[in-house]
Amino acid sequence: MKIMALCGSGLGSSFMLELNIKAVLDDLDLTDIEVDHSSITQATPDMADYFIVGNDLANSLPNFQHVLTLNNLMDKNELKILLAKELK
Amino acid sequence: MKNKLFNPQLVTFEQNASIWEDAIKKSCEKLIENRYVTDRYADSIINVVNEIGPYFILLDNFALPHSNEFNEVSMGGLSLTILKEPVKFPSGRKVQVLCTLAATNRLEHLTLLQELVNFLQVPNIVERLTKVTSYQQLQKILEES
Repeated sequence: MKIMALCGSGLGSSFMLELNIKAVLDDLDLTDIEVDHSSITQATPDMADYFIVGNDLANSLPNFQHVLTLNNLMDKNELKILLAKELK
Repeated sequence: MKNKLFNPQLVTFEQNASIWEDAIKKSCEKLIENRYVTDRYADSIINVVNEIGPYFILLDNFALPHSNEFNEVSMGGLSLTILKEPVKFPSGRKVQVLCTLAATNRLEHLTLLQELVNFLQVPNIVERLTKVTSYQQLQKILEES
């Protein structure tokens, strides 16, 4: 399984989100999940099984399935609840 | 040990900004003065916000403004700008603490951001940063991360 963190430029925010996703997956004992980051303009629906974005960019991905959104991109607790609900 | 995260030359406190565009410009001033970026860098960030929105608001009251106009950046770095009062971005979200990123390419700044992620794990970090008025105070918080 693969999770892709996305932001507007694919430079900063999405990489920081990738780090948090990896940490939370560890906390949840979820293994064998690949995590990467990219931008909303470069991402394609076949790139990953799940895409995680801030909710202000959710509408930029109309053809994507399994888009998970966060209110606070760097809130680890919010991310943990989201991933636990989706993947556990 | 995290003193590498913020270069004292790139940190400013108690800044006044009435609108978000001002806040972005203020957050680029030290980067421009110290020749990390050109004076066009702030406008490139403002364009990003106008085109796709302020997606770099990572937490309530905290933003990581940046653009991928690598041509406007000569050195990678991170500035810290703390405003007296928050400003409202087009999405309606408010921001008082800005860490503005200058990136020369897609990879060079990743270690810096890794440190920033750790720094943001300090409990109530943003609220505490809004009250910081000196580098010494900032350093105390940095030592906790």
